[in-house]
Amino acid sequence: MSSRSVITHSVAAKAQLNNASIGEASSKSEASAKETKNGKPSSESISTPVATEESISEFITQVAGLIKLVDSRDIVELQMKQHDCELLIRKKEAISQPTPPPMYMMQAPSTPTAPPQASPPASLALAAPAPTTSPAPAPPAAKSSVPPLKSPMSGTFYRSPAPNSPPFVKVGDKVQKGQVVCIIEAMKLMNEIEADQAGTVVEVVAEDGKPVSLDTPLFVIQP
Amino acid sequence: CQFQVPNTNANTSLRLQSHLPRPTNASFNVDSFFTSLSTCRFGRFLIWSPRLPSTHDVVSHNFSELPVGSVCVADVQFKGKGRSANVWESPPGCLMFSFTLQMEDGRIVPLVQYIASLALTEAIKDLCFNNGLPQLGIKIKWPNDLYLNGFKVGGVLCTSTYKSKKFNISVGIGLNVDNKQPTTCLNARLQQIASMSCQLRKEDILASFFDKFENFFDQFLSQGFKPLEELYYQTWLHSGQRVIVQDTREGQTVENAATIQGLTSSGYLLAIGDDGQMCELHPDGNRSFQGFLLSFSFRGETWDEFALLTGDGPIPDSM
Repeated sequence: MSSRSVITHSVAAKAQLNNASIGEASSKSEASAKETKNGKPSSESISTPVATEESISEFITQVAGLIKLVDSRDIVELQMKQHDCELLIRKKEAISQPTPPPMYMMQAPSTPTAPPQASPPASLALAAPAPTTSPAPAPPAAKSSVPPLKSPMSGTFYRSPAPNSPPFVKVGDKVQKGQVVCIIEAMKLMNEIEADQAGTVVEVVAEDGKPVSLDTPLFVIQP
Repeated sequence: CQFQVPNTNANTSLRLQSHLPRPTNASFNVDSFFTSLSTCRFGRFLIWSPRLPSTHDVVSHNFSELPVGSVCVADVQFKGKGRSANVWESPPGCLMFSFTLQMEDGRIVPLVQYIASLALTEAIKDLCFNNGLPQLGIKIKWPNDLYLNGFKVGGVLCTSTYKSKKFNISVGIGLNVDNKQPTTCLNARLQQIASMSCQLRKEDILASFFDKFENFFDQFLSQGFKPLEELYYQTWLHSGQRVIVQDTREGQTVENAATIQGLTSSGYLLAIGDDGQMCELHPDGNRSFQGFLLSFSFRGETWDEFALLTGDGPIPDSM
């Protein structure tokens, strides 16, 4: 997975990224913030303490950590703002076909930003920066139209045959039809699930060791 | 089509029954089994071996090559399957067999082990009754063990492969019929309570088991577990049992007392906490759940670990 990060503005001496609120800004407020800044750029950069080498490397480390975080999760876009530092990390999935200009003020991408509205209409859902109250955002729309391999029963999902052995399959693996891809365990009954078609594992949807229900998506296997 | 005997390097030979040497007294008597069997599907195709690594592996590795309902019996098993990587040792005197079945409805698949356990206890009940023997009172320890007079004498282990929209299930059963070391067995207990030399024979137990199982399984497929639930509760050890549900979360352990009520519709334990809340209890399958580890005390002994799945049980609202 490739991540592309767009870092704007100069680095403040200490970017306290850990405390920064995540995805707070809608693109509208983001835009206005930018405008304000553009309005008085010189005074602001003067007030900013000069970045030391140490602080820059610390900042880079923190950014690298965030990129890793975004890359490893189901997050397609992460935007943060703290003091005069802004950070936007977007995954390839979030970027629309014609490579957008390297600035972050562009039109909202079709994928909803970090805290998605309950059911985002593709158009102008971003107009209201209302704080979303729904605690569990709906999982992002499947990456492709391929129907996922679903659990045929409820139980506990295991990716490996035994606690300390490697997983049956991981993202990127080619699987054959009939190849065992996971175990669902229910009341000590171990049930091996075979791939229903040949293809490449593009996503492991369920979490190892966690309960799944009947029809819970487990894997996406691209034929 | 190729028949495999997994996990063995030894030479194996495959023979028709008519070409077998005369069985010794200790070995399984195939003729006697078929004389007693009255099923239509289960147990009609039998593979017997004097010595095998695991009957379970034989049926599960050859599932598609064997007619559904086939059974494999061994006199001695040296790599028998227990849970996870546990090995079930089986000296002579144990009845060890595995058989195959198919199911389609994933909601009731886990309950098939209750059907198998119940078929086994009912088979023994019938045999004792028909032979004028006293009842042994074998009990089911949920979810898959058999107890006699406080000792484990048997177990049921099912594995399954979900293939082409069907569950290919291998049911493995071990029962201590004649081997009383190190604890007890059916015939030792019979002798104790009846002071008669009449013994239960493995062939009769197996044939009676399949008769019961076929009957129960048909009911189960058409009507679910409901018709058998009452009988199951009469046979298991847990009705009204007091348990301690131990919930470890974020380093803190909270204990709650609860009473077992029965089974939930999906076949898990249904318990009612002292605070009046109902909860569903899950066995941990020998693998730990992170943050949801619970343990049970059965009659003062911690026998097993269970995990609580539902959030509405008697657990603190720290979720």
